[in-house]
Amino acid sequence: MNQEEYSKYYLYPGSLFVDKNPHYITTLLGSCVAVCLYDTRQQYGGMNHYLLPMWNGKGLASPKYGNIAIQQLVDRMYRMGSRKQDLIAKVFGGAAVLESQNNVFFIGDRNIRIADVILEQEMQIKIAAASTGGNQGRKIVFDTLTGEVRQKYLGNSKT
Amino acid sequence: MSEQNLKQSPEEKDGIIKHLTEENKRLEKQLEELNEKLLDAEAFKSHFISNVTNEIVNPFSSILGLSKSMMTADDNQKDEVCHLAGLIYSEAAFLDFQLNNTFAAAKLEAGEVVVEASRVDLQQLIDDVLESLQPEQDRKQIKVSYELVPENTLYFHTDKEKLKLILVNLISNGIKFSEKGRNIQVRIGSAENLLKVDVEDEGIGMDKQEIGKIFDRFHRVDSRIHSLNPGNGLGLAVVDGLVHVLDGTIDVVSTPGNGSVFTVKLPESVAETDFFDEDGLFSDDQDQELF
Repeated sequence: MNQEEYSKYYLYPGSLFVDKNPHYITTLLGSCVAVCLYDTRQQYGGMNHYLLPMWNGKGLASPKYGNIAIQQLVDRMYRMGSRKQDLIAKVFGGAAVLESQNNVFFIGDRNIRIADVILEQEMQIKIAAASTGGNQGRKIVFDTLTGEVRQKYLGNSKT
Repeated sequence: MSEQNLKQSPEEKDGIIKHLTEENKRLEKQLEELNEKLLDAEAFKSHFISNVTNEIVNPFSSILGLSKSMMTADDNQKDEVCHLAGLIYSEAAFLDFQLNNTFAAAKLEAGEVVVEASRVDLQQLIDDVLESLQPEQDRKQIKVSYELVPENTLYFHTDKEKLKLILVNLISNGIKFSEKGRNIQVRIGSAENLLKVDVEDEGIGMDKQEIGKIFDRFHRVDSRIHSLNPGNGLGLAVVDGLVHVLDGTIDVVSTPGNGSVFTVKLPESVAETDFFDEDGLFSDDQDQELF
Protein backbone atom coordinates (compact mmCIF):
# COMPACT_ATOMS: atom_id res chain seq x y z
CA MET A 1 0.00 0.00 0.00
CA ASN A 2 1.10 3.49 -0.79
CA GLN A 3 2.29 5.62 2.08
CA GLU A 4 -0.15 8.33 1.00
CA GLU A 5 -3.08 6.13 1.94
CA TYR A 6 -1.93 5.99 5.54
CA SER A 7 -3.01 8.47 8.17
CA LYS A 8 -0.77 9.47 11.05
CA TYR A 9 -1.76 9.50 14.70
CA TYR A 10 0.27 10.60 17.68
CA LEU A 11 -0.82 8.73 20.80
CA TYR A 12 -0.74 10.68 24.05
CA PRO A 13 0.02 9.05 27.38
CA GLY A 14 -3.14 7.76 29.03
CA SER A 15 -5.04 7.44 25.78
CA LEU A 16 -5.69 4.75 23.19
CA PHE A 17 -6.45 4.59 19.52
CA VAL A 18 -8.08 1.99 17.26
CA ASP A 19 -9.06 2.46 13.62
CA LYS A 20 -9.81 0.12 10.75
CA ASN A 21 -8.11 2.39 8.21
CA PRO A 22 -4.33 2.10 7.88
CA HIS A 23 -2.48 4.31 10.31
CA TYR A 24 1.02 4.95 11.51
CA ILE A 25 0.50 5.31 15.25
CA THR A 26 3.50 6.75 17.02
CA THR A 27 4.30 7.34 20.66
CA LEU A 28 7.22 8.03 23.00
CA LEU A 29 7.86 5.68 25.89
CA GLY A 30 9.98 5.74 29.02
CA SER A 31 8.71 3.79 31.99
CA CYS A 32 5.30 3.81 30.27
CA VAL A 33 4.23 0.77 28.30
CA ALA A 34 2.39 0.60 24.98
CA VAL A 35 0.54 -2.49 23.81
CA CYS A 36 0.08 -2.78 20.03
CA LEU A 37 -2.76 -5.14 19.25
CA TYR A 38 -3.10 -6.49 15.72
CA ASP A 39 -5.89 -8.48 14.10
CA THR A 40 -4.21 -10.85 11.63
CA ARG A 41 -7.52 -11.67 9.92
CA GLN A 42 -8.94 -8.19 9.39
CA GLN A 43 -5.50 -6.58 9.15
CA TYR A 44 -5.93 -3.59 11.38
CA GLY A 45 -4.83 -2.66 14.86
CA GLY A 46 -4.80 -0.35 17.83
CA MET A 47 -2.46 0.89 20.51
CA ASN A 48 -2.62 2.07 24.10
CA HIS A 49 -0.07 3.93 26.22
CA TYR A 50 -0.29 3.58 29.97
CA LEU A 51 1.70 5.18 32.77
CA LEU A 52 0.94 3.01 35.77
CA PRO A 53 0.12 -0.68 36.17
CA MET A 54 -3.14 -0.76 38.13
CA TRP A 55 -6.02 1.57 38.83
CA ASN A 56 -6.31 1.65 42.60
CA GLY A 57 -9.72 3.30 42.74
CA LYS A 58 -8.21 6.80 43.02
CA GLY A 59 -8.75 9.43 40.36
CA LEU A 60 -10.47 8.71 37.10
CA ALA A 61 -10.65 5.13 35.87
CA SER A 62 -8.77 6.11 32.74
CA PRO A 63 -6.43 4.18 30.43
CA LYS A 64 -3.58 5.86 32.27
CA TYR A 65 -3.61 2.53 34.12
CA GLY A 66 -2.50 -0.74 32.51
CA ASN A 67 -5.36 -2.93 33.64
CA ILE A 68 -7.90 -0.46 32.24
CA ALA A 69 -5.93 0.43 29.10
CA ILE A 70 -5.48 -3.20 28.03
CA GLN A 71 -9.10 -4.15 28.72
CA GLN A 72 -10.38 -1.10 26.80
CA LEU A 73 -8.11 -1.79 23.83
CA VAL A 74 -9.22 -5.42 23.58
CA ASP A 75 -12.89 -4.47 24.05
CA ARG A 76 -12.73 -1.90 21.26
CA MET A 77 -11.26 -4.42 18.86
CA TYR A 78 -13.89 -6.99 19.82
CA ARG A 79 -16.51 -4.38 19.02
CA MET A 80 -14.95 -3.97 15.59
CA GLY A 81 -15.46 -7.67 14.96
CA SER A 82 -12.10 -9.03 16.04
CA ARG A 83 -11.90 -12.55 17.41
CA LYS A 84 -9.55 -13.50 20.21
CA GLN A 85 -7.79 -16.17 18.15
CA ASP A 86 -6.79 -13.62 15.50
CA LEU A 87 -5.25 -11.12 17.88
CA ILE A 88 -1.54 -10.80 18.53
CA ALA A 89 0.09 -8.31 20.86
CA LYS A 90 3.42 -6.51 20.78
CA VAL A 91 4.62 -4.84 23.97
CA PHE A 92 7.07 -1.94 24.27
CA GLY A 93 8.54 0.33 26.93
CA GLY A 94 8.83 -0.08 30.68
CA ALA A 95 12.35 1.30 30.93
CA ALA A 96 13.89 2.42 34.20
CA VAL A 97 14.42 6.01 33.12
CA LEU A 98 13.35 7.95 36.19
CA GLU A 99 16.34 8.67 38.35
CA SER A 100 14.22 9.90 41.24
CA GLN A 101 12.58 8.21 44.18
CA ASN A 102 10.05 6.80 41.71
CA ASN A 103 12.67 4.29 40.70
CA VAL A 104 12.21 2.56 44.01
CA PHE A 105 8.79 1.42 42.93
CA PHE A 106 10.01 -0.18 39.69
CA ILE A 107 7.17 1.33 37.71
CA GLY A 108 8.62 0.21 34.39
CA ASP A 109 8.92 -3.41 35.52
CA ARG A 110 5.44 -3.44 36.99
CA ASN A 111 4.03 -1.93 33.80
CA ILE A 112 5.61 -4.73 31.78
CA ARG A 113 4.41 -7.43 34.15
CA ILE A 114 0.79 -6.33 34.05
CA ALA A 115 0.82 -6.66 30.25
CA ASP A 116 2.15 -10.22 30.51
CA VAL A 117 -0.37 -11.18 33.18
CA ILE A 118 -3.45 -9.70 31.53
CA LEU A 119 -2.66 -10.56 27.92
CA GLU A 120 -1.16 -14.02 28.17
CA GLN A 121 -2.53 -15.42 31.41
CA GLU A 122 -5.98 -13.86 31.67
CA MET A 123 -6.92 -13.25 28.06
CA GLN A 124 -4.77 -15.85 26.33
CA ILE A 125 -3.66 -13.34 23.71
CA LYS A 126 -0.21 -14.14 22.39
CA ILE A 127 2.58 -11.62 22.86
CA ALA A 128 4.27 -12.05 19.50
CA ALA A 129 7.08 -9.58 20.11
CA ALA A 130 8.34 -7.32 22.84
CA SER A 131 11.04 -4.79 23.53
CA THR A 132 10.83 -3.89 27.18
CA GLY A 133 12.95 -2.84 30.13
CA GLY A 134 16.43 -1.42 29.94
CA ASN A 135 17.11 2.18 30.84
CA GLN A 136 16.51 4.01 27.59
CA GLY A 137 13.34 5.60 26.29
CA ARG A 138 11.83 4.43 23.03
CA LYS A 139 9.99 5.87 20.07
CA ILE A 140 7.78 3.40 18.27
CA VAL A 141 5.72 3.54 15.10
CA PHE A 142 3.00 0.94 14.61
CA ASP A 143 1.92 0.17 11.06
CA THR A 144 -1.69 -0.90 11.65
CA LEU A 145 -2.04 -2.47 8.19
CA THR A 146 0.90 -4.87 8.42
CA GLY A 147 1.19 -5.13 12.19
CA GLU A 148 4.86 -4.16 12.03
CA VAL A 149 6.34 -1.96 14.73
CA ARG A 150 9.45 0.10 14.16
CA GLN A 151 11.41 1.12 17.19
CA LYS A 152 14.24 3.50 17.93
CA TYR A 153 15.89 4.18 21.26
CA LEU A 154 15.83 7.75 22.49
CA GLY A 155 18.92 9.54 23.63
CA ASN A 156 17.36 11.33 26.56
CA SER A 157 14.81 10.04 29.01
CA LYS A 158 11.08 10.46 28.61
CA THR A 159 8.13 9.49 30.79
CA MET B 1 -26.09 -39.21 35.16
CA SER B 2 -24.49 -41.25 32.44
CA GLU B 3 -24.30 -45.06 32.47
CA GLN B 4 -20.59 -44.91 33.19
CA ASN B 5 -21.22 -43.05 36.45
CA LEU B 6 -23.72 -45.67 37.58
CA LYS B 7 -21.11 -48.38 37.26
CA GLN B 8 -18.64 -46.62 39.55
CA SER B 9 -17.81 -48.01 42.99
CA PRO B 10 -19.14 -46.24 46.13
CA GLU B 11 -15.60 -44.92 46.83
CA GLU B 12 -15.39 -43.41 43.39
CA LYS B 13 -18.81 -41.83 43.82
CA ASP B 14 -17.74 -40.35 47.15
CA GLY B 15 -14.71 -38.91 45.46
CA ILE B 16 -16.83 -37.33 42.76
CA ILE B 17 -19.25 -35.91 45.33
CA LYS B 18 -16.37 -34.46 47.34
CA HIS B 19 -14.92 -32.92 44.20
CA LEU B 20 -18.29 -31.46 43.22
CA THR B 21 -18.80 -30.02 46.70
CA GLU B 22 -15.42 -28.31 46.56
CA GLU B 23 -16.14 -27.03 43.09
CA ASN B 24 -19.47 -25.76 44.35
CA LYS B 25 -17.84 -23.94 47.23
CA ARG B 26 -15.30 -22.34 44.92
CA LEU B 27 -18.02 -21.15 42.54
CA GLU B 28 -20.07 -19.88 45.46
CA LYS B 29 -17.11 -17.85 46.66
CA GLN B 30 -16.57 -16.47 43.17
CA LEU B 31 -20.21 -15.53 42.97
CA GLU B 32 -20.02 -13.77 46.31
CA GLU B 33 -17.02 -11.76 45.15
CA LEU B 34 -18.78 -10.81 41.94
CA ASN B 35 -21.83 -9.84 43.91
CA GLU B 36 -19.76 -7.54 46.09
CA LYS B 37 -18.30 -5.90 42.99
CA LEU B 38 -21.78 -5.41 41.59
CA LEU B 39 -22.95 -3.82 44.82
CA ASP B 40 -20.01 -1.43 44.68
CA ALA B 41 -20.83 -0.59 41.08
CA GLU B 42 -24.46 -0.04 42.01
CA ALA B 43 -23.53 2.29 44.89
CA PHE B 44 -21.26 4.17 42.54
CA LYS B 45 -24.01 4.53 39.96
CA SER B 46 -26.50 5.81 42.55
CA HIS B 47 -23.93 8.31 43.72
CA PHE B 48 -23.40 9.49 40.16
CA ILE B 49 -27.11 9.84 39.49
CA SER B 50 -27.69 11.83 42.65
CA ASN B 51 -24.78 14.06 41.62
CA VAL B 52 -26.30 14.62 38.22
CA THR B 53 -29.59 15.53 39.85
CA ASN B 54 -28.02 18.12 42.12
CA GLU B 55 -25.60 19.63 39.68
CA ILE B 56 -27.59 19.65 36.46
CA VAL B 57 -31.27 19.49 37.26
CA ASN B 58 -31.15 22.16 39.97
CA PRO B 59 -29.53 24.89 37.85
CA PHE B 60 -31.95 24.04 35.05
CA SER B 61 -34.92 24.47 37.37
CA SER B 62 -33.56 27.83 38.48
CA ILE B 63 -33.08 28.97 34.90
CA LEU B 64 -36.62 27.91 34.00
CA GLY B 65 -38.11 29.66 37.03
CA LEU B 66 -36.08 32.84 36.61
CA SER B 67 -36.77 33.19 32.90
CA LYS B 68 -40.48 32.71 33.54
CA SER B 69 -40.37 35.58 36.04
CA MET B 70 -38.66 37.71 33.41
CA MET B 71 -41.36 36.99 30.86
CA THR B 72 -44.08 38.17 33.20
CA ALA B 73 -42.24 41.33 34.33
CA ASP B 74 -43.84 44.72 33.67
CA ASP B 75 -42.38 47.31 31.30
CA ASN B 76 -41.21 49.54 34.15
CA GLN B 77 -39.27 46.79 35.95
CA LYS B 78 -36.01 47.12 34.03
CA ASP B 79 -33.82 46.79 37.13
CA GLU B 80 -35.63 43.65 38.20
CA VAL B 81 -35.22 42.14 34.73
CA CYS B 82 -31.48 42.91 34.73
CA HIS B 83 -31.14 41.31 38.14
CA LEU B 84 -32.96 38.18 36.96
CA ALA B 85 -30.83 38.02 33.80
CA GLY B 86 -27.73 38.16 35.99
CA LEU B 87 -28.97 35.24 38.06
CA ILE B 88 -29.74 33.25 34.93
CA TYR B 89 -26.26 33.98 33.60
CA SER B 90 -24.61 32.74 36.78
CA GLU B 91 -26.71 29.55 36.85
CA ALA B 92 -25.91 28.91 33.18
CA ALA B 93 -22.20 29.57 33.74
CA PHE B 94 -22.21 27.08 36.59
CA LEU B 95 -24.01 24.52 34.45
CA ASP B 96 -21.52 25.05 31.63
CA PHE B 97 -18.64 24.45 34.04
CA GLN B 98 -20.22 21.28 35.43
CA LEU B 99 -20.90 19.89 31.98
CA ASN B 100 -17.36 20.68 30.81
CA ASN B 101 -16.02 18.76 33.79
CA THR B 102 -18.31 15.82 33.17
CA PHE B 103 -17.37 15.64 29.47
CA ALA B 104 -13.68 15.99 30.29
CA ALA B 105 -13.95 13.14 32.81
CA ALA B 106 -15.78 10.96 30.28
CA LYS B 107 -13.14 11.63 27.62
CA LEU B 108 -10.28 10.94 30.01
CA GLU B 109 -11.87 7.67 31.11
CA ALA B 110 -12.43 6.59 27.50
CA GLY B 111 -8.84 7.42 26.56
CA GLU B 112 -10.04 9.78 23.87
CA VAL B 113 -7.87 12.71 24.77
CA VAL B 114 -6.01 14.68 22.17
CA VAL B 115 -3.77 17.58 23.05
CA GLU B 116 -4.32 20.59 20.83
CA ALA B 117 -1.34 22.77 21.47
CA SER B 118 -1.21 26.40 20.48
CA ARG B 119 0.41 29.65 21.60
CA VAL B 120 -1.68 30.65 24.60
CA ASP B 121 -1.99 34.24 25.77
CA LEU B 122 -1.74 33.70 29.53
CA GLN B 123 -3.05 37.13 30.51
CA GLN B 124 -6.10 36.69 28.30
CA LEU B 125 -6.63 33.18 29.63
CA ILE B 126 -6.59 34.12 33.31
CA ASP B 127 -8.88 37.09 32.61
CA ASP B 128 -11.38 34.73 30.92
CA VAL B 129 -11.16 32.28 33.79
CA LEU B 130 -11.79 34.94 36.43
CA GLU B 131 -14.66 36.41 34.45
CA SER B 132 -16.36 33.02 34.28
CA LEU B 133 -15.96 32.68 38.05
CA GLN B 134 -17.23 36.19 38.82
CA PRO B 135 -20.64 35.01 40.09
CA GLU B 136 -18.98 32.60 42.53
CA GLN B 137 -16.55 35.28 43.69
CA ASP B 138 -19.37 37.76 44.22
CA ARG B 139 -21.50 35.28 46.07
CA LYS B 140 -18.79 34.57 48.63
CA GLN B 141 -17.15 38.01 48.48
CA ILE B 142 -13.82 36.45 47.70
CA LYS B 143 -11.16 38.44 45.95
CA VAL B 144 -9.06 36.53 43.45
CA SER B 145 -5.93 38.34 42.35
CA TYR B 146 -3.22 37.13 40.02
CA GLU B 147 0.29 37.98 39.00
CA LEU B 148 2.44 36.88 36.11
CA VAL B 149 5.97 36.09 37.26
CA PRO B 150 8.07 37.51 35.73
CA GLU B 151 5.78 40.23 34.52
CA ASN B 152 6.72 39.73 30.89
CA THR B 153 5.42 36.15 30.91
CA LEU B 154 2.79 36.40 28.26
CA TYR B 155 2.70 33.35 26.07
CA PHE B 156 3.08 29.63 26.57
CA HIS B 157 2.71 26.75 24.14
CA THR B 158 0.09 24.35 25.51
CA ASP B 159 -3.52 23.15 25.16
CA LYS B 160 -5.60 26.23 25.92
CA GLU B 161 -8.90 24.54 26.80
CA LYS B 162 -7.23 22.02 29.09
CA LEU B 163 -5.20 24.66 30.91
CA LYS B 164 -8.36 26.74 31.26
CA LEU B 165 -10.30 23.86 32.81
CA ILE B 166 -7.41 23.18 35.19
CA LEU B 167 -7.39 26.82 36.34
CA VAL B 168 -11.17 27.11 36.62
CA ASN B 169 -11.31 23.98 38.75
CA LEU B 170 -8.46 24.97 41.05
CA ILE B 171 -9.72 28.50 41.62
CA SER B 172 -13.34 27.43 41.97
CA ASN B 173 -12.19 24.84 44.48
CA GLY B 174 -10.34 27.53 46.44
CA ILE B 175 -13.47 29.70 46.49
CA LYS B 176 -15.59 26.76 47.67
CA PHE B 177 -13.40 25.94 50.62
CA SER B 178 -12.79 29.49 51.80
CA GLU B 179 -14.95 31.42 54.17
CA LYS B 180 -16.55 34.70 53.11
CA GLY B 181 -14.27 37.66 52.51
CA ARG B 182 -11.00 35.71 52.12
CA ASN B 183 -8.44 36.09 49.31
CA ILE B 184 -7.09 33.79 46.65
CA GLN B 185 -3.76 34.44 45.00
CA VAL B 186 -2.85 32.97 41.62
CA ARG B 187 0.74 33.10 40.38
CA ILE B 188 1.61 32.13 36.83
CA GLY B 189 5.17 31.97 35.68
CA SER B 190 7.27 30.24 33.08
CA ALA B 191 10.95 29.44 32.95
CA GLU B 192 12.93 27.12 30.70
CA ASN B 193 9.91 25.80 28.82
CA LEU B 194 8.06 25.01 32.05
CA LEU B 195 4.84 26.70 33.14
CA LYS B 196 4.28 26.93 36.88
CA VAL B 197 0.89 27.85 38.32
CA ASP B 198 0.26 28.34 42.04
CA VAL B 199 -3.24 28.74 43.42
CA GLU B 200 -3.07 29.76 47.05
CA ASP B 201 -6.17 30.11 49.21
CA GLU B 202 -6.87 31.06 52.80
CA GLY B 203 -9.44 28.34 53.12
CA ILE B 204 -10.09 25.56 55.59
CA GLY B 205 -7.06 23.49 54.54
CA MET B 206 -6.66 19.74 54.83
CA ASP B 207 -4.69 17.19 56.79
CA LYS B 208 -2.44 14.61 55.15
CA GLN B 209 -5.09 11.92 55.12
CA GLU B 210 -7.52 14.23 53.33
CA ILE B 211 -4.91 15.28 50.75
CA GLY B 212 -4.51 11.62 49.83
CA LYS B 213 -8.16 11.42 48.81
CA ILE B 214 -8.88 14.70 47.04
CA PHE B 215 -8.07 13.42 43.56
CA ASP B 216 -10.55 10.54 43.83
CA ARG B 217 -13.56 10.94 41.63
CA PHE B 218 -16.73 11.95 43.47
CA HIS B 219 -14.79 12.48 46.64
CA ARG B 220 -15.93 15.55 48.52
CA VAL B 221 -14.32 17.09 51.51
CA ASP B 222 -16.46 16.66 54.57
CA SER B 223 -16.54 19.94 56.40
CA ARG B 224 -18.70 22.44 58.13
CA ILE B 225 -18.97 24.53 54.98
CA HIS B 226 -19.43 21.54 52.76
CA SER B 227 -23.20 21.61 52.73
CA LEU B 228 -23.15 25.15 51.33
CA ASN B 229 -21.00 24.14 48.40
CA PRO B 230 -22.20 22.91 45.08
CA GLY B 231 -20.01 20.56 43.06
CA ASN B 232 -20.03 17.06 41.71
CA GLY B 233 -16.72 15.95 43.19
CA LEU B 234 -15.19 15.53 39.75
CA GLY B 235 -13.16 18.75 39.70
CA LEU B 236 -9.83 17.66 41.14
CA ALA B 237 -9.99 14.21 39.52
CA VAL B 238 -10.34 16.02 36.18
CA VAL B 239 -7.48 18.40 37.04
CA ASP B 240 -5.24 15.46 37.90
CA GLY B 241 -6.18 13.67 34.67
CA LEU B 242 -5.61 16.74 32.49
CA VAL B 243 -2.27 17.59 34.13
CA HIS B 244 -1.01 14.09 33.40
CA VAL B 245 -2.22 14.22 29.80
CA LEU B 246 -0.14 17.38 29.43
CA ASP B 247 2.83 15.50 30.92
CA GLY B 248 2.87 17.74 34.00
CA THR B 249 2.73 17.36 37.76
CA ILE B 250 0.47 18.61 40.54
CA ASP B 251 1.39 19.11 44.19
CA VAL B 252 -0.59 20.21 47.21
CA VAL B 253 0.71 21.82 50.38
CA SER B 254 -1.89 22.34 53.07
CA THR B 255 -2.47 22.44 56.80
CA PRO B 256 -5.89 22.41 58.47
CA GLY B 257 -7.06 25.94 59.12
CA ASN B 258 -4.22 27.53 57.18
CA GLY B 259 -5.29 27.27 53.57
CA SER B 260 -3.86 25.28 50.69
CA VAL B 261 -1.46 25.83 47.83
CA PHE B 262 -1.96 23.83 44.65
CA THR B 263 1.04 23.89 42.32
CA VAL B 264 0.81 22.71 38.73
CA LYS B 265 3.86 22.40 36.50
CA LEU B 266 3.48 21.82 32.78
CA PRO B 267 6.12 21.38 30.11
CA GLU B 268 5.67 23.14 26.81
CA SER B 269 3.51 20.98 24.53
CA VAL B 270 5.01 19.93 21.24
CA ALA B 271 2.94 20.19 18.09
CA GLU B 272 1.79 16.76 16.90
CA THR B 273 3.46 17.13 13.53
CA ASP B 274 6.83 17.32 15.29
CA PHE B 275 6.54 13.67 16.23
CA PHE B 276 6.50 12.71 12.58
CA ASP B 277 9.65 14.49 11.48
CA GLU B 278 11.93 12.69 9.06
CA ASP B 279 14.18 11.25 11.72
CA GLY B 280 14.90 8.07 9.86
CA LEU B 281 12.17 5.86 11.28
CA PHE B 282 10.99 5.04 7.81
CA SER B 283 14.28 5.17 5.98
CA ASP B 284 17.04 2.58 6.15
CA ASP B 285 18.34 3.73 9.47
CA GLN B 286 20.70 1.44 11.31
CA ASP B 287 19.40 2.40 14.74
CA GLN B 288 15.93 1.30 13.86
CA GLU B 289 14.59 -2.12 14.82
CA LEU B 290 11.64 -3.95 13.37
CA PHE B 291 9.15 -6.00 15.41
